[in-house]
Amino acid sequence: MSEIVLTIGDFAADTDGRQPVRSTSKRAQRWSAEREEMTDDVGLDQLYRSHRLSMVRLAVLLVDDLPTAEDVVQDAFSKVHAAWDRLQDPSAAPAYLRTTVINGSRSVLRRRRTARLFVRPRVTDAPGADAAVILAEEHRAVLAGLQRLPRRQREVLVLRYWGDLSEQGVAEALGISRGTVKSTTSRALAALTAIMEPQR
Amino acid sequence: MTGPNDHRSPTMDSNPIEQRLRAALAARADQFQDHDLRPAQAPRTQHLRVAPARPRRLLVTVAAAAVMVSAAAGIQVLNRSQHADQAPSVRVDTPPVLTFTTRTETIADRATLTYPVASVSGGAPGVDARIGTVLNGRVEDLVQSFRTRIDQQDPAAQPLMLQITPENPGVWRQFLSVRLDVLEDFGGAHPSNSAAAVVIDSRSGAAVGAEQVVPDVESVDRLMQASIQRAAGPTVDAAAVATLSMRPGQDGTTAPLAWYPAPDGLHWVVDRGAIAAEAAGTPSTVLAWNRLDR
Repeated sequence: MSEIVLTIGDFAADTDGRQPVRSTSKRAQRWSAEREEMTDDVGLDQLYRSHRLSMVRLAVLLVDDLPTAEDVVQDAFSKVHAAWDRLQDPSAAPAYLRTTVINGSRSVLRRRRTARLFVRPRVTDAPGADAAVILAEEHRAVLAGLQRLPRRQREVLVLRYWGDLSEQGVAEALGISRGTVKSTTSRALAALTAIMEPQR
Repeated sequence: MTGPNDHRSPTMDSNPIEQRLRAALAARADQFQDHDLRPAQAPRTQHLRVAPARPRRLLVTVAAAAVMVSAAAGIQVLNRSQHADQAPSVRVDTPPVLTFTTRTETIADRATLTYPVASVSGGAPGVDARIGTVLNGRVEDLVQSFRTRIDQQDPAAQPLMLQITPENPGVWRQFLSVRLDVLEDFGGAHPSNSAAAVVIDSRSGAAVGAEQVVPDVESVDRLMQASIQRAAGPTVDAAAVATLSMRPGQDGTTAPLAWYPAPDGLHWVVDRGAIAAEAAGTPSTVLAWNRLDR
């Protein structure tokens, strides 16, 4: 007898996400109160309008399907909304949002890995009715290679080469040191090259 | 070819693999534009101003009152987050938990049956029980159908096998869907795949028909048929596809078609053997909700 537990609508909380800095300074309290009175939602609305698409794209590159990516991003905005009062500096919100999206994507990948242990992969021999634009063969090969890399290597490459983040930016987004970003990038590119080599 | 901060040129990449990677990532990301995303808006605040030291006590009191009211009314309370109404799809934050126990039985050393038995917890007891009854009833129908066909098989046939695997596509609005992937082996050249789906109203625990999910079943049926036709390829029998419908037939099911709502859209799965000469596979398609609205 084996058991499979499916939690309907299960969106796991971040377990490895960095929490925003909780502030107790008078300045931060004043800022928080003023912001609340001005309206909490304006800033988040702006953030949503300006960053939703790019965050969905980031999540797609990490989890590789649009509906899941949209869920990850909507969850991330909910978390940013919940943490809004604790953010010392609203200009830090995009970085916090990005980190939350990355953590949400990790959670999805973890759940998928667990689910694969129990559930037979779905038989899908046809594309969706609203199939997206076909990618060039060259791009498909690179993306397929990317999917074969370990999670952290994939994250680093996506943030560096699509997110255009500096090594320091990647380090902050992933909560690792700059040196680790550098070495991970180097190893990831070498691994990707090795994966791509037989196809050339 | 644009990243979110398009200030670096591909020519800055010294390594060819970097250039290829940047181009591939940009191409993949650029496949998605604003109009591809489902309609949604930012979460919003509901201003519940309470004294700083008391919010937990107030929440506990409100929650306890809600539970008492719901128990008295005999309805399930679906706890939603403060901003759930603004979410793109309605999600249930404390949803029912389905636990599937896999049961294996052998019939006279001829057939092995593996199928899930659902138990439901986390919601109102009456609703949980109804969800369990609906789910297990559908599984039992599939198992019974297999048992019936065993008796029609040649006694000398190879060992026969039925395997039913549950999958949770998620919750859309109040609709809870469970997809059942069915693998049957009657000793032929290859086993056959098919799928069934159970759609349940999580507020009442009752099974849901197509009319409750889409406003115009006939129109959506036509979309579904075109979509299946496209997905299944040129060898498909158009006349057979034209008979597919989300409304149940005389046997009370929509077989060979299964449909279910999920957060990403309306899903259809069809037993290929019912619509094409070659019987391998279960063509499946999904139509995003925003495309269905057009």
